[in-house]
Amino acid sequence: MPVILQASDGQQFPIEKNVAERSMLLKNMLEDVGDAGDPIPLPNVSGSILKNVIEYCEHHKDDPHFAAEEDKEVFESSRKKPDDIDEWDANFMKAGKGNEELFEIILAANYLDIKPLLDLGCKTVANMIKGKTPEQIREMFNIENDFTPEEEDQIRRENEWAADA
Amino acid sequence: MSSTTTTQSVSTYLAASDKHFCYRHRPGNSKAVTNSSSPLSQRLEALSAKDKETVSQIWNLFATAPRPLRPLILDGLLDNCCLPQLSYMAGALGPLLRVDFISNAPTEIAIGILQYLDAKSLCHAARTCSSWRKLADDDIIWHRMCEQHIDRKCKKCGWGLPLLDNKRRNHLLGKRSSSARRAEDTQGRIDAGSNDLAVKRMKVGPPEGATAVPTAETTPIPRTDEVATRRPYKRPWKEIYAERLVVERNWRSGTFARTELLGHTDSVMCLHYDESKSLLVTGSYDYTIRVWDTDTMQCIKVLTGHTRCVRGIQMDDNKMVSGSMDRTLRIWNLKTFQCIRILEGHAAGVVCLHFNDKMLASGSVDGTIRVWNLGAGCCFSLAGHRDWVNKVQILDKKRLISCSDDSSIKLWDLDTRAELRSFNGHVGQIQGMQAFIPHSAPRVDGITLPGGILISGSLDNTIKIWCLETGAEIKTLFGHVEGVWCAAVDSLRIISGGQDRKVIVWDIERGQKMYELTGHGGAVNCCQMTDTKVLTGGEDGAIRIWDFLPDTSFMSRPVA
Amino acid sequence: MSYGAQQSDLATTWAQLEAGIDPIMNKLSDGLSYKSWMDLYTTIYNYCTSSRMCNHNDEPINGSSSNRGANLMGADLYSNLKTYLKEHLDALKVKADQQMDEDLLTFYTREWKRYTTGTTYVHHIFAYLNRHWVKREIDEGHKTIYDVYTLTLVTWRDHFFGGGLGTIQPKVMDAVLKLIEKQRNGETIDSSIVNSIVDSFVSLGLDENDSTKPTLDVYKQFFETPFIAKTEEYYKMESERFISENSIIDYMKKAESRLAEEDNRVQMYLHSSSQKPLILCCENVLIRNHTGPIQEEFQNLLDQDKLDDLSRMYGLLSRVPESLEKLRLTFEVHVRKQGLSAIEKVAESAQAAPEGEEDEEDEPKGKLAASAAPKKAGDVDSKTYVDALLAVHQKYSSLVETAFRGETGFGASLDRACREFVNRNIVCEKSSSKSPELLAKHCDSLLKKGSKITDEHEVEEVLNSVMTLFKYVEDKDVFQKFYQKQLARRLVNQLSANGDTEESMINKLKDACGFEFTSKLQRMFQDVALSKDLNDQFKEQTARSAEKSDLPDFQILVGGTGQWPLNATTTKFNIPDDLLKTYEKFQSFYQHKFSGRKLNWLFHLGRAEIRANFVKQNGKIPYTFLTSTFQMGVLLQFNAAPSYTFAELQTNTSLDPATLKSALFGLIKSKALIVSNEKTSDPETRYEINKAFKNKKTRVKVDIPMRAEQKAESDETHKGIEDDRSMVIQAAIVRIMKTRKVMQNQLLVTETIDQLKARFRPTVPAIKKCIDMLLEKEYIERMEEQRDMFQYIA
Repeated sequence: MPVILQASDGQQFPIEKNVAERSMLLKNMLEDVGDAGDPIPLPNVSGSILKNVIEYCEHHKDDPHFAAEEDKEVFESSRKKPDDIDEWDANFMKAGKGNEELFEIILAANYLDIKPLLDLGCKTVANMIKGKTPEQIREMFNIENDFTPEEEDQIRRENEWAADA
Repeated sequence: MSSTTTTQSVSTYLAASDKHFCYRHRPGNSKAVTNSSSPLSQRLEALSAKDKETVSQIWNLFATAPRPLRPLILDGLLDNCCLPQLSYMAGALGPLLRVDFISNAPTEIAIGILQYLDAKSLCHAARTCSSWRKLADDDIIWHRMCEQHIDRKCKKCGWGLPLLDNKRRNHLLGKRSSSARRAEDTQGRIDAGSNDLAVKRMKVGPPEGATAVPTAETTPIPRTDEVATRRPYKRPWKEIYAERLVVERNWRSGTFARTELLGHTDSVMCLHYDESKSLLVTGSYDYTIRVWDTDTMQCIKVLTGHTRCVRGIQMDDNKMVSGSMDRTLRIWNLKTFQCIRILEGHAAGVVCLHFNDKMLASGSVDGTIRVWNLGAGCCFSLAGHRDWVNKVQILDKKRLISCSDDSSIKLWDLDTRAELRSFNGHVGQIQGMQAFIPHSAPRVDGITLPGGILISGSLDNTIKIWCLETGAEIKTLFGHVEGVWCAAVDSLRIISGGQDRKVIVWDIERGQKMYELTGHGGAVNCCQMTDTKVLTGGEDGAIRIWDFLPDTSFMSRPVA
Repeated sequence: MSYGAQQSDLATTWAQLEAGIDPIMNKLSDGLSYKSWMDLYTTIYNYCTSSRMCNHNDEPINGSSSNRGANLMGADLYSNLKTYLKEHLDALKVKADQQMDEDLLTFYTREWKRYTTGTTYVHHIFAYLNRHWVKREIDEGHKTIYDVYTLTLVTWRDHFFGGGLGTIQPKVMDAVLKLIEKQRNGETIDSSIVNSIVDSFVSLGLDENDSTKPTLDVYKQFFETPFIAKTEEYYKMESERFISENSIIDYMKKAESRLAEEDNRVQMYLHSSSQKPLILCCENVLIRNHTGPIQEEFQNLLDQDKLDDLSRMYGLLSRVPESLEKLRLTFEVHVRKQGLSAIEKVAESAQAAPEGEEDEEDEPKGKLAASAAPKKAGDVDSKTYVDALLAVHQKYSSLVETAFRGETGFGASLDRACREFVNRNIVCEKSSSKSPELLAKHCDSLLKKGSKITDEHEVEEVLNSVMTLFKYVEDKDVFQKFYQKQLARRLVNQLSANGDTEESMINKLKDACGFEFTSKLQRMFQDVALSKDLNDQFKEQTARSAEKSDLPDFQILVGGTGQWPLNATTTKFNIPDDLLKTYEKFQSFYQHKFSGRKLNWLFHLGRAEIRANFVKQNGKIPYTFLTSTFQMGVLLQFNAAPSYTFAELQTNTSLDPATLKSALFGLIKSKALIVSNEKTSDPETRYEINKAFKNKKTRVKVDIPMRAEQKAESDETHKGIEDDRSMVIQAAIVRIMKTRKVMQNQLLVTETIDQLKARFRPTVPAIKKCIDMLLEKEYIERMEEQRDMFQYIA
């Protein structure tokens, strides 16, 4: 029984129920409201992003569900080196996506409550930050340095201990 | 129309017509919204009125165009661009495409991203800008980091950090309340969700600037006035993590501050250090016991009474027990320094001792071990060693382990008083030994030792690592060129002192020597290791303390 | 719905939310669309995410603890939600106040259902808040922040349900209790209401520390406790009233049914955890408070043998284990009385019995029977005795099994009682070892030829029941002695009815008492078998030699002296010439076979068959006399002459006068000999063979023992037992002293009794006597310093 998702710009995407249920939000809602047959409006997700998200869900539709509250466990097990991202997932994240898309995907995953995708996105971004000096980070993410020189110095000293690990 | 109204109308247009704000144009995203002083409007102002009109119109048209049309419009524009304009576009796009995730995403997500970082990257991130800093310093993230690393090996990076929970300081012996690090301990901030972290969050005021000069004396700065006004506050997890990381780093790199304590007139044979009380007791061949305060690095008392060399010593909160070659064990009251009891019974000199809250075990020259019941005053004997018993240790109230000049280590059951196991392998007299049972099984060379780890140092120049449970010999450490006199172990490292005047620090996980500590003028007779210090006593009558914790004031930002 | 609420404007956001949540909470039946659901969720999402920019300048939300770092949005929504719920519940409360009793309950359940369903949806809608802000709060340790669903429950519990003014909880409980009371009074109620009320109570319990874990606290405090209190009250009243108006028996029935009902009730609509306390309370009130009268009734029931009621009483009182003790005592006393009175009856009927004339068995068609004791006045018939004992035992044993469900305590009481009346009843008053004697006699009668029970299985059964009684007998060695004697007699006279039954009896005894007990008996059997072989061999041998025709038919039973309780012949005896040859031949044969063994011929036990050629029955068939060996000796004399004096007979046979007298007695009685005068043992009395002998039967039993002999034998056996016991006691004492070396007098006595109690109960004087004997024999001595300590002399 397909479920129809409607993006903010009106695009509609019919998908199978079990794919939709990768999103906890949709799962809960389908439980509550039932199968109404209407398209489900998703006002905070645009069509192109939704397409990507659906692609992810389709690929992972057979994955076992984590017990929702086992955050600790998931944390432990997924806190392996962030570099050990699944190959397909790594490609998915890279494939022609600029930062903006990545950002939107993360937001969408957060909105739709798709934990694995959210984690994947976060890991990807974390990998981008890892190992870079503050200047490099600023450049990469277009951050404006709003410290005064004194403040900057103080903060540098504060964080000095981590300097050579 | 002024540029301001233009831009304002741009905003209103946006508000009215566009149903969904994209990331860039969200209100509150200061970078995107143009205001009157931005470079863009300045450039607009610089144009002639007609041009201004054209440009504004084009901008408006585009801004009001519905979303689906925009790509088409842009394609058309691109078509019309000449190469210079295209390369201009390419250049301009780069920076614009960069998204500041952390600042713009909801906090939850930002934290989610940051929690995948390691300590170094987190600190770098904190330095980028104020919003990043706020998030990167988040307590919850650092709490997780601490949980991951402190007192256990992190699966990710392989580092384990020491627990450092001995920084409780009690006010002891009627000292001035200002001396020593002022501390109260709190069990604070054990979060509901992470109950297994046993780290105690200490409230420690900024320590005095005690110098780490390699001389005997340091003077504390009295802080009596601050006692009353001190407010309790909780230390941030980041600081805790940082502190321990530095300590660990110092350990790994061999960065320390060394202090020497002089006073004994003959070689120092045994010592015991209690970090929480900053108290060190040493026994020596000059028949005396000296009590030292490690904050002031002074000897506060000399205890006489034994008629031969003091070979074994240990203390707890109220008492101290010393064993001597004069065949007796003396129990001293730590507050009054009086000898309250003398235990006789050994037929020959007492070489070593160890006690817990119920029992006292002592090993002797005649090869027997006596186990005294401290409450009842009775004792029984364990026989089995054929030569001097050099070290005894009571394990978990039921077992006792001892090493001897007969090159064996024996594990005894205290209930049945029978020998459970003998560890054979050394070819020389075993002089130093320690067993250590951490709550997570230690790993040596890839082998996990479930029951705990046992190390022994012998006059055959080697140190051996044994598995307590199975009795198997796991590894032999070579490095001393002469006999090993003493050894100590904790969850991360082994130290050993030898006849060759060196103290060697070994890494357990890889089973390798890390580096040496030199400075003793004679053989190193006894040693003890804490999370941040190594203490050794030597043939030359001096005691050396190697401190791996820097005394610098540690990023303690006062918080509301 | 506009999407325009992008600002972090709390008021507008909340207004929207409220407008959306209201229908969910109140009019869920109207349905919910994807759109409205999604809108609500998105509103919350936008609110939480869009205002993060303000974070930098905000004060930390929770002022006291500084969590540096992230501040998540959501507190406002949370508190607004809380207020909303409170208002909602306030409105409900007002409505609830107008309801009473059952209506209130229906109202409550309906509203509860509606509330929980609605709040589940709200919980899902607020999922974003749950996921992030609430989680963060919990991580930081703020215990009063819960996820939304739990929040709704908590609000319900605190605000609507319990605590505070005018709350609904007491009224609800009242109504529930009233309902339950109605049901107890017999009316039917809608149990689903109570069910859902219970469910709601259970869901409302939350663990203080971990809000995700449910507990039964609310249920226990608000439901279970008042419920049980009410139950107690109700049943107390009911039971007291009932008992005063009705009989105990009826009361028990009622109690039983009430307990079953309560059990049922738990199943129906209570939480399973209540079962234990509820049943306990009921048991307390219904049973424990009334154990007195119930226990008194017990005696009556026993008297009247009311099995059902006894069973019921046991069932009830077994729930209060301490109360059974009294029952057990009563039972024991009762059984004992029954046993004793049964035996009394037997004794009485024995008194009234006619002078014993019938033997226990029918007239044997075969050989002579010599062992039956004819009934005497005052002597109890063993069969009736044993049967009486068994009957009582059987009756109460089955009572224990059925009514008391085989409970061990009652079994033990039964055993004790049986032991009492088996060993110390009126028959045994005269001598404590009467019971085992009678028991042995009974066995004997069963195992002999001519016993009334011929079917093997029946015999087996009866023997089994005898064994059960045997267990209770204290003086087992008495039994052993008698049994041995009787067995010997049976074997000697070939009176056993069935070899197999004999064997099985021995086995049973072995099982009960051990090998030692029965070893002698088994050897007796072996001897019999051996003798058979011997006889065959002897016959063969004589057949080979020439004098076969001269020799009379001869059979012998050879037994080892050790195992056969038979005394040697006390008198001399001249073997008649006719038999001398056989005698000598057999002697030599046996000596040849077993050199080194000595044969003691027990003539007084032998029997003979003599054909009387001098007189014929009906002139045709000669009579055959079945005699004892001595009588044979006497009769054969008359081959030589027709009459003899007593003195002559005595000389010829070399028998002593007493034996001769008893031999002659039988001959005279059967009229084979005629005696000249009354004084049978006068030397001058003349005996003449009766040529005019007549008898109905062809084979005439002549060997009729004198009655006095029987009695003497019994007494003799008893004496023998005394002696044996003495030996056993002494052996035990020596054994004890040997191990202990030194022992105090009192202890020694106790120890001895202890060791021997399996076989018999030694009396203290007997032990003292034995100690003295041992002192004399110098096995033990008194110690110097302490006169009451003994020391073993090695």
